[in-house]
Amino acid sequence: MNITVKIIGGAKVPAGLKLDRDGSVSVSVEDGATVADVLLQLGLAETLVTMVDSRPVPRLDRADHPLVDGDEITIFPPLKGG
Amino acid sequence: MGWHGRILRVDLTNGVAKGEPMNMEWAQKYMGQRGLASKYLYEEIDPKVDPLDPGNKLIIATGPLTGTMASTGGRWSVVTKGALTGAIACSNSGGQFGGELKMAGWDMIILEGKSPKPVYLMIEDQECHILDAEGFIWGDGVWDTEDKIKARHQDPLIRCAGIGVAGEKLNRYACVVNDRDRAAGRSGVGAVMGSKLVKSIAVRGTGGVKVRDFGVFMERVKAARAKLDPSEGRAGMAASGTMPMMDITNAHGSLPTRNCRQVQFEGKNNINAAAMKRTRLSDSSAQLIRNKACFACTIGCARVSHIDPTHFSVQGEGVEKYKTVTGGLEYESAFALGPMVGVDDIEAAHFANAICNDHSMDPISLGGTISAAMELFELGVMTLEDTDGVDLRFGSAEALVAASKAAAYCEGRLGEFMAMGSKRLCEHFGRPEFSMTVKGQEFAAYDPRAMQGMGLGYATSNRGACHLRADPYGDDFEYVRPEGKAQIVKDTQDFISALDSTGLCAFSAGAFGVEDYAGQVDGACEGNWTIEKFIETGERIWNLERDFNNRAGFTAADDTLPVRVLTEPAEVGAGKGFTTMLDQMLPEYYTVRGWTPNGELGNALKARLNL
Repeated sequence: MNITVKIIGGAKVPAGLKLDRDGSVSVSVEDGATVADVLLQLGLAETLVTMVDSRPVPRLDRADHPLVDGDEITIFPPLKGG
Repeated sequence: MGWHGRILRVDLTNGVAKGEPMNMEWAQKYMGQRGLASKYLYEEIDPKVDPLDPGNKLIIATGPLTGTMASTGGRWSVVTKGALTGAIACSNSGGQFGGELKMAGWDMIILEGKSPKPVYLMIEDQECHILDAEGFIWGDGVWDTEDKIKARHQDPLIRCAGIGVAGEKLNRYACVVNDRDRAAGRSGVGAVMGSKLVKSIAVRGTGGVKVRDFGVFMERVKAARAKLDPSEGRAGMAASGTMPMMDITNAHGSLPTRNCRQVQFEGKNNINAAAMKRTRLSDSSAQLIRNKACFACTIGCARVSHIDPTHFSVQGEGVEKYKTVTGGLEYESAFALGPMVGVDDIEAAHFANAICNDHSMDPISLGGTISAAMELFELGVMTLEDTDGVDLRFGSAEALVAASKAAAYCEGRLGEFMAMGSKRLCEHFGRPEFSMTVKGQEFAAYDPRAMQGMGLGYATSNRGACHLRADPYGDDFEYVRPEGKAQIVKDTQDFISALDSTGLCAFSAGAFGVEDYAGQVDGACEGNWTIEKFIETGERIWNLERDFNNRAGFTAADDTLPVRVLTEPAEVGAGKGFTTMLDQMLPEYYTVRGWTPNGELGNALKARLNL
């Protein structure tokens, strides 16, 4: 299945991963893949924050959060202050 | 050491400046900067005094690590009773001024009384002269003031901290600006300076700062830097400053938009980090030129920018100087002068930010005040007569620019209203519910419906709504629920209180651990600064500030949020369907603080903290 991964907020992007101007990339993953699987597949740090379809998926829940075709994962670093 | 043990006390009423020894017993309990200055304020003023009365005092304070080689050791604070809030105010700045003051041999300056005429201070090492400002710099902006002082005293290395016209005219959220574009920004500390008729503090220091054990100190400085220098956070801050946060809060649904009517801004791509770097057609240049660093900083998060010279805001008389290269937008100013007022014109936001720097206004409170006025205007509560004919609608860059200028000069009916701050403005028009404030201070750039911990942090902050008094960010981005927030907010409030008393910058906390802060303070200062002592000092400072506010008349009823975020759920994002669940978090917070149900400190707590 295909999902969209959107990496924003200055998160370090793995070498070779080419993003669109808005930070998104379409990714093919195994059926039943979880949020944790996607981070692993793309080589993204576990410390990043993940949201699926605008809802946060906490780090502890990622392995239990299966994705469905067409999902959008937003990924950003846990910045603070401003 | 670390400290000089010297305070410069300036009796403005009688025109006398004298050095005196610092209370080193208090230094062991309150460290420096925020903590130690708060202790002096607590002991020396009536907490019920009007903030603009000569009985209020204004304390300029460095920390023991200010002016040392510790990375980010350029911080200093202004502590007073805030003109915006009536609560204890501690406003923190960077730049070069703090290091220079320390090099001059002073830990703190206490301004007391009121000068009979406008003055500025010229401090050259141990000498301090109180000099006439009238006919010289009174009425000028901060930028011209700094240039004139350097020219008169023939020294380009003088560092200045002072006020522009907004401070002179007692705009309630006037701040103290140093080094042209660094600011002790919040709570109206610049209005207090203006009330004392002090225009600027100019300082030139040629000494140094001694530390307790140079070998130990440098070992710990290097160990801390070894964490900071290679960190991803440091690299990101150097590249884009704090601006990437706008993309994050927009995606998360915690970007306050149009006076918190919404939590996402459809125009954010025109006013975010990428927009600052986008090449303009008009001058083939981007707004952002480069980054810069404060004294001793190895992060360099500050933005150096310039406006589009063809933008409407810099055409005509009196605005030519705003075409210059100057401090640029950061996330907080960009949010307040962008999404909060519904404006996606990054050049207009830059202009408003520049006039904030030149005339000493807090851009967060300026944006929050304009956004409240825009809501009142769109509802027909404020009229064109009230706005001097300005069509004060959300999204209007022209209205943003006009309101910013009116606020800076406190000119006309609009200027009078803008200078009030949103709380007084909304109360004046009988609609207090439209003021997005806590204790009179405007929200920062995080909506507390998606970020519940931030809501608790706003509600309980001793200086009014603030994003830098607690650190619930990580948990808030992952969990929209009330459970556990109280402990996180309490613990981080204590930690930050201590950090703000060191002389180091909060942005170092992305890499430094508590052991690095305590270790560096211990290397510089006597007193065996363990991690436990460091944290307990933070807790003591927080409770001292709270006790000041209680004595000033604040109660548990002031630990609240605007009715909008308590009753109107967010429509999108992580907080969709949620209001801020303060009623569930606040009692737990009082419990973990060890306060009474009324939010007061009990005797047992005071005894434990040796208050």
